[in-house]
Amino acid sequence: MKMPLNFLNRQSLNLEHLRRQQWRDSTENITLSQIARPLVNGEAVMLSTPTPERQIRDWGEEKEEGAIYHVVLKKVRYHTTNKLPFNDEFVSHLEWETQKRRTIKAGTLAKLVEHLVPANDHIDEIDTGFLTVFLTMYQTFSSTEEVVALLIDRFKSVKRKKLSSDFENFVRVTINVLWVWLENFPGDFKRDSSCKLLKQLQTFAKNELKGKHGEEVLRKTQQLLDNTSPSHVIFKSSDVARSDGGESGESISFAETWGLIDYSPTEIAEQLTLIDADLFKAVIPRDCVGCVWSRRDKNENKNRPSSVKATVEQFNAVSRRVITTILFGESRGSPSIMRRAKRLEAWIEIAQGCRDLKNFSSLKAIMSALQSAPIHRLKKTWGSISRSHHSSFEELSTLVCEDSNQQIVRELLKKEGTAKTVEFKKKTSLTRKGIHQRQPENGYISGTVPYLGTFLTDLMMLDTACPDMIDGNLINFEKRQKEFEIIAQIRLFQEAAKNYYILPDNDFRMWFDSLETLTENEYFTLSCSLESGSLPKRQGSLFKSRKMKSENDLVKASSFKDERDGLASRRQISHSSMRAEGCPRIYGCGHIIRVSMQGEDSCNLYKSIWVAEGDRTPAIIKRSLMKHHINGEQPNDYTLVQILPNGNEVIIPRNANVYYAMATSSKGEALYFVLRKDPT
Amino acid sequence: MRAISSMREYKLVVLGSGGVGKSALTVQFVQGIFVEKYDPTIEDSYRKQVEVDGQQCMLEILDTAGTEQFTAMRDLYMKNGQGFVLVYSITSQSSFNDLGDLRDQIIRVKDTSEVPMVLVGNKCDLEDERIVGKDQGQALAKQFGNCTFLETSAKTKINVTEIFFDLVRQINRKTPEVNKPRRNIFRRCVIL
Repeated sequence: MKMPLNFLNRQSLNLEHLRRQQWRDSTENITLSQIARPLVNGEAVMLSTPTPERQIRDWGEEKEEGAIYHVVLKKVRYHTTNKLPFNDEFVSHLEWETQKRRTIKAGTLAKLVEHLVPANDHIDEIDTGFLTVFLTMYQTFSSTEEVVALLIDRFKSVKRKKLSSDFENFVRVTINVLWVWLENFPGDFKRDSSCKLLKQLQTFAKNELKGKHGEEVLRKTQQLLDNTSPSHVIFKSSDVARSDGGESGESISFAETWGLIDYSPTEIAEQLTLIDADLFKAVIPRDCVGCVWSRRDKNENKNRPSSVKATVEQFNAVSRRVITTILFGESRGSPSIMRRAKRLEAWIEIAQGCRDLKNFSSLKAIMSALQSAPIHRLKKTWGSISRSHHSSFEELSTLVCEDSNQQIVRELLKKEGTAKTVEFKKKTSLTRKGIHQRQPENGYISGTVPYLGTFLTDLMMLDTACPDMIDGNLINFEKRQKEFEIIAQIRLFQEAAKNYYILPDNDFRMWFDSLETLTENEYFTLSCSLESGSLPKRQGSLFKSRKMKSENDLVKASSFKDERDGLASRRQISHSSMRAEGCPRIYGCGHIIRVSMQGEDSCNLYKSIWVAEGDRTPAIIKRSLMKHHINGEQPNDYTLVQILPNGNEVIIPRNANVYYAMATSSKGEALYFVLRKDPT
Repeated sequence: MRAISSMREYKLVVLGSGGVGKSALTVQFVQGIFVEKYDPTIEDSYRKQVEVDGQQCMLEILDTAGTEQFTAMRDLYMKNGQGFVLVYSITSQSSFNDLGDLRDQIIRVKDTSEVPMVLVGNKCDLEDERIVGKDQGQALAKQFGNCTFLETSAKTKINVTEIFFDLVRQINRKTPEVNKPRRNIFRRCVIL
């Protein structure tokens, strides 16, 4: 790389000093000219270089037209070629002087750009920390086009009006900005498919930025122009499209779903961590700002593939699968309490495994599932798990606890987040039998995956608490600085997430993806059917007002490859066990009915259809036809008929609320229906 | 210090779809005015001591802003909260429609329909963009077991403190004695 080393060094130096961006002293100049530390993929790498705070003094605010600055006084050492011992106060004090440094707090866009390329500062004095923050954040208040235009205008006006006493230096400053931008944020320029901006910059570099440094900018733009592939979407869409139900791919029958036994908890924790780490590394930190991704009122972001979304989906997917594996049986019979307890224990061990791998994302997802209503209410099951698992669970609960603004996990992340090795404290819970057999003696190398939600909330609250503009028309750059600090943290953890050395296991992924998931309501109902417990008596009325989710969800929730082996039999399980425990036969807000086609040989060829409160006859007929794979038929051509246990028939009116129209059985018997094609 | 330790703590959870201004309500209540040194990451960012009916209370507000899509987390939030603020925006019908599900979920998690709760129609300063009528809000509150209903504006500071004060009063009515928040059921003795 032919880029002047000096630029690169300065850049990385300041990245290390994100929090004290304005800080620079000559001791570091010397060390840096000796150590070349390139940027890692253009990402900020924060290292904890202690800076003596006493050398910076706060000097208040300074206002001028269109900008507010924060001023500090700092001791700066003269440049010297003599390498003196840094700690020799007696000699070195002669080489210091106090300088005034300004950082911009707020300003118009023009002023911010001016601060980016100051006319008279020597390149060594420019606020390169500002450069990083600016380039990371400018899209929250401006656009690439606008900034490029302003930069070019600024250059031309400085040149024309001879504003700079050292124009050559000013050119170098401009080149530096452009080069850092092109190098570290190439995605900014690729969004525009016609490459207008790149061409504009190229022309500008050709005409104005002469010399070998200018050529670097030229080369860089050319490189980006040549590389036409869309770059910034790092995560694979296949990851995002990871199905959350049996909608795509094959649904493995229930007999096979319980593969948990074949994997050790550690292996499962590792595989989950691998998935989480990959997704987390693919998060584009800028996507997290102001939580634009989650706002439904920001339509312009609707279709943008959000790197954040993939992480969120995986989080929810893990959580649902925990519930699934605990609630569903491995055979057709409902699992006994002991079997459920074993699974619960397995998940506690997996959660502990995630904790040991510093995977706070899946840890939180698993713990959320274990504390969700459908699982948490299984008192008999909880009563059957071992004491050591209980205390393990208790301990892990504190880690995911939201109290005091998640202080516990925040502290933990500070302490362990970027440490590459994990040192185990001798804790009883960690040395218990059955848990952590693979625990090494002196710690091992491990990455970190934080729970992304913490950052999203922080950024959201920051966005709310700090105004975008102050004094009317000044961009509140201090806010962007704060947001940047959180983004820098995400980047830091993304670096840490690279420290996992786990091999992917495709079988695991297949198993994970194939696990059936239900809606929250269905989980709860299923849970009630397993352990009746303290199901609220008014449940019926409580959920009456609930509208079932969209038809799609229903189909998704009940789309099995083998209908009879899958949903129907499970429902039957629910039926029978509910009946046994005297539970009301209400599935949250609907019934399962069995619909067969008139004329088919046997009534056994039924399909199970979920009838929610409010579902009208045509919708049920349509759904039944779909499940019977009868396409191209009009629901209007069919009549839905209920067959009562005594053989009588009830014709369901054309546009009835089927839930209310049909006859239900107090004994919990299956509800049979036929679809009859009307004579034409 | 002693006063603080004996002070009753209230865990309040703010729920609602993204973009309804939940965070604005929380920030407005906790911070009052715009604070230059606001830091969302510190321990007491969402803690506020208030006096309600002559009694000192420490409110800890859990705002789910930014994590609405982490649906798997909801039960956990609900499990730990004592009182709930259900927020919609009067400019968004869908945010209003979402609340029925949330309320059902709270009741399921809490295993009772008597949960301290306030229904909030936020952004009432945007009267021009109103889609959800006040009567609709009132009707929903009635459906929610006659819970308190307030139309608020974080922006113009209308009814913001009222939300949280009302919740505290509801919690006091429901559990009048000063007792520590219930511990997890698993804290109980295990007899071997």
